[in-house]
Amino acid sequence: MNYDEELSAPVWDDLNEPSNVENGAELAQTFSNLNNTSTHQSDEQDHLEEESIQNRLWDQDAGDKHDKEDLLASLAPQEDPLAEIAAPTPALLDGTGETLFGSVHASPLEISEQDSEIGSGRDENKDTSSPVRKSHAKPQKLFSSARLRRHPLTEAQKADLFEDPLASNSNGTKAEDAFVEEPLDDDDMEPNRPKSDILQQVDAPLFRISPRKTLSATPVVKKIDSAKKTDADAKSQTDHSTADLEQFEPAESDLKIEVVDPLKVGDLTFAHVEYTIWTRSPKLEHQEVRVQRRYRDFRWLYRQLQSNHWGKIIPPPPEKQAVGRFKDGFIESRRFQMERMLTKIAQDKTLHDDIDFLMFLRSQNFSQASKLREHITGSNASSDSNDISEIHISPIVLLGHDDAVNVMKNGGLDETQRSFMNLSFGAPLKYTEPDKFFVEQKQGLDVLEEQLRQLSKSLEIVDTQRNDLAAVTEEFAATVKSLEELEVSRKASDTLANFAEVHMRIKDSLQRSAMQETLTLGVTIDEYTRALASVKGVFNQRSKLGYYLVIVEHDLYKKKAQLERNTQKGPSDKVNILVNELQTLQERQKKIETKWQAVGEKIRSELRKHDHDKMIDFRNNMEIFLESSIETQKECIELWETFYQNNL
Amino acid sequence: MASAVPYDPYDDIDNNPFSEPAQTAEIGPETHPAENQGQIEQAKTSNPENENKDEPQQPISELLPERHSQAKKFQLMVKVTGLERVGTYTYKKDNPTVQFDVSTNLPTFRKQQHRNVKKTMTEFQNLFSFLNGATPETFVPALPLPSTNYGISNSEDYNKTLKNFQEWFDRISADPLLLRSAELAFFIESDFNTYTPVGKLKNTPVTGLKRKTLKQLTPPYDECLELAEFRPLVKSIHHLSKDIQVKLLKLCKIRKTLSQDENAVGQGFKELAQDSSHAKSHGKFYLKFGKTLTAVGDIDSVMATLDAATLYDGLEWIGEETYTVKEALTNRHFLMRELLQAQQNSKFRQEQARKLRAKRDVSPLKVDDAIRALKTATTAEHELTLKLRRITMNMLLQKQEWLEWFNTFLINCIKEYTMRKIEYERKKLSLLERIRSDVRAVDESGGLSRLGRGTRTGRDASAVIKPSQTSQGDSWTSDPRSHAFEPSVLKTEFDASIDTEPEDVSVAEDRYALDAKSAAHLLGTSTF
Repeated sequence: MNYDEELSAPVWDDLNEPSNVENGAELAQTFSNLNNTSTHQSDEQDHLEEESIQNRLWDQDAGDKHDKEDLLASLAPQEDPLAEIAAPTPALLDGTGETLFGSVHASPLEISEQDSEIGSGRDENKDTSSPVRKSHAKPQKLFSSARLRRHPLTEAQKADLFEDPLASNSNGTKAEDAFVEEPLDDDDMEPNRPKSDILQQVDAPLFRISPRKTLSATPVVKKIDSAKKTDADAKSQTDHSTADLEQFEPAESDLKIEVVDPLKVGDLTFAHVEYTIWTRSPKLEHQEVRVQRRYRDFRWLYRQLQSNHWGKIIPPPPEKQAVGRFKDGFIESRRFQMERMLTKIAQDKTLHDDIDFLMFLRSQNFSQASKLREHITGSNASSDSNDISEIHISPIVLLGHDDAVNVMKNGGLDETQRSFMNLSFGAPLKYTEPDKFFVEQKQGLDVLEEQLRQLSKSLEIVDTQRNDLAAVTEEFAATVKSLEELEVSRKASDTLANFAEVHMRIKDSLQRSAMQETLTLGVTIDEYTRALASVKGVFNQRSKLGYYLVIVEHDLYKKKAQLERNTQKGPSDKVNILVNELQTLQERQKKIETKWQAVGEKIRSELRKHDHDKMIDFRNNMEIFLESSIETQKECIELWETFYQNNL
Repeated sequence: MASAVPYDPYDDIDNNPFSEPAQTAEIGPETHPAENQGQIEQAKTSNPENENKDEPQQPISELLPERHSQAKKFQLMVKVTGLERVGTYTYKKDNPTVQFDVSTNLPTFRKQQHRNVKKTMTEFQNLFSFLNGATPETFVPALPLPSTNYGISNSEDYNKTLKNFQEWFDRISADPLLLRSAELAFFIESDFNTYTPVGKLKNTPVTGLKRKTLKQLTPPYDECLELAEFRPLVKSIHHLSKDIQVKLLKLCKIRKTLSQDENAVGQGFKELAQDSSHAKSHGKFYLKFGKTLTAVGDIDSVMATLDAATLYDGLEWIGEETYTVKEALTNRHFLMRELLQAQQNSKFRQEQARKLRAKRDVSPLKVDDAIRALKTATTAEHELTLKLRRITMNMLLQKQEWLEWFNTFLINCIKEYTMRKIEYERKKLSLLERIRSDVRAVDESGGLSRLGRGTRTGRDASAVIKPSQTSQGDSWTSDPRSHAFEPSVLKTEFDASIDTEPEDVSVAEDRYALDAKSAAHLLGTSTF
């Protein structure tokens, strides 16, 4: 990489230094000499670069090897703090990125710069006393994105990689630190194994169990399920290969996430509810982190993840609601739904390593961090529409930085389309889905959604009816009781008293079963419905990409025609320009097409997984519902039988 | 007057014609007003009370000869044999024809045996209102409802109404005062649909606006504390049972709507089954689940009907009953008021007579008049006193009987209600348990099985899940049940709708089980 050529702004140097210092407390120590001399700047960047490369490699490994996947997946996040330190440099050094940020989005960056400078100044002072304190501060996640790198690795760099003393050193210490708490199933891969061996042996049984315990009920089920799945699903899902099934298996997640303590903050006009997210994981620096988030932030996370992982079905946040936002019941159900959303994300092995997700869990200065991330990825996550299924395709992710900038300058990909439409075209270009699979799926989705909506509506009514019934039962019992108080005769009074008592109990039981029903079937169906919106979003992504593809192809076709016309006139500047333009367009078209296809593939596998997950979830809840209603029924019979025996 | 106290011309010397009659007359009235005043002042409450209690006991055979000596002499046996509902819907509902056999030794009847007597509800109502007016001494049992909440024209309604009428006849024939009423004979011996009250009501109870106004007044002082307390008790029973009815009705209505919504949920699952995206076996599973939920909803609806039919109807009858009792007690109050007036009247006459006596020269015409007036007043008062005593006495006896009846009836209602409740809750349970194996079979590792409930896995094992209710008792408790296990709970009216393929398991019919037609009827028409 030629930094010198691409690095044109001194701003980045300024930024780099403090941000690094702040980022890793440990690094601050190891790097102290590097930081002091600005001449070594590029050296340091090199090191960082290499580390990030290494991380990339690990990631790639994880992607490639199925059997070692778990280990790597859990290992990769371990490296994260390091990766995050390392990552900013390449990302920031990216020359095109500079123009993008420098010209268009200068201000947010500057703010963060100052911020981090202040923060770093403070940190440096504290460094000696408490080095680890600030290690999870915000910019770490803001700038750390190994994925953003678009430059291929050179052989030299790869060779460098393992010799780098800094990288291996920090890597080693890190691994040592974290390894103790790792639930490991396969342990051959670890370089520092001997050291941690004893510790691990001591703790081994504990940690083999702990990840299961920390997870919510569902993943455990799924685990067991997938183990026996081949038998169970042999008939119903013959088309699914075993590889597929393995893929369905949720990643073992160390994250234990709880959403707790909803608290109403703000005055009358800006009142909102803040929830505390309490994350516990051996991977985190402090093992547990508490941050405050509001509902809006969950939406942001959803959008951000959606934009980060095209074709991935993201666990959706709860729906927006304008009225009655501060009612206890509503807050509780929302809390529950958001907790489920986070847990689900944590269980997904691609999602639970997502930088934005980790940032969301840890950042103390979320509002700025989120804005920065949003700019970098161009996800447009905060301009959130009501509909979960609506999507935004980030041109940066789609086309890469350079091209994205050009496109953005012209007002987006479909801008050309828009302007042309006014002039020459009667009908706008339309994307028609060529793959029948998607069309069918989409139709199926619509039907299913309607059915689920209907179902959830009737469930809701049943719920209210049940509560009404409970209330009236109570009234009834009260009236019976007052008849009993007349004491017409001893026996009748006793009977009536017990009769009223039985009704009170039945009322309790009714309320319980109503609650149970909402908690099992109701929540599941609700979640299913929202997940469907998320699925729709994925389809939208594909069709949007397809739409872009159509536009670009159209442009390409026109450009070709133009070029042909011009070349007939003989060579000129115009021809050269046109050739260049044609090239970019072709590149663009290729990029979009690959993305489009990739998304299509991803959607296929995701859909299968989603269907499967949902089916299991649904069935489980149906069974829980059934069992609980059986129990309620037994209780009810028992109540009546006892009453009958004692009184009649 | 002259005949009552023969005039003795030799008494002239004395010139005190009032001495004797005055004395006799004074015995009755004087004691009562004295008591009245005394008790209004709350001074000697205990004393007259004791007197009162002792007093009625002595002349029980005189006051209520029917109850005493020949009580067991006359008997009336009625056996209700059938019920006919003909004509338009409202006619069917409100005016059924009751068929019954009568055998009796009452002299009022022309013959001892009557077979297949047919009477319409209207005739019964006529008889009832006559009896109610003619015998103020007794609480005439209220008529049963012409139709039950089971909905007309099904066997349950038929049996229940029959039973109710039988009970009513039993109660009538248990009451010696009513038995002796000639009207009963007229009623039974008249032709079908021709009966109208024959006898004249001697002193009809106050009716209409007058009654309403009189009811507003504070009731007169009642020396019989038991009955004085009884009326407010009955009144509150009446109101409370009405209240309970209202609540119960609300309950039933909500239950019915709930069942509809449960059906909708079931329907939703059924629709899910049609979704092509699910695997075939799942489709079937959803279908079954949905059908079961629908059936459970239907059971809820049936339960609502049964609630209404057992407890609501029972309370309705109690309401009617308490109303008649209350009105009978009100009539007694009116009688007491009348007595008070009579007492005042006789007092006034006495006063007049006294004044006459005090005068030096008395015109014999005036004396004659005064004596005559005094005589009428005294006899009227005496008659009323006797009548009131008779009523009080009988009511005291009846009160016990009535309370007993109320107790047993109420408890029976609750019992019936509970029985049906248990039966249908059990059916619900067996319905739910029946798909349990299906739910498990689809997903061996899911749901609660991971809690160790289903220890055995595998398709065949899960099919063996036993129902928790068997003839050995319930699996969840070791308590033996007081009433024997009925295999019918394992079978419901809605089985046909659930099972896609017919089962050849035949379970013995029980007497409560509805046939398909009546089940449909129960579900179809809301009876309120």
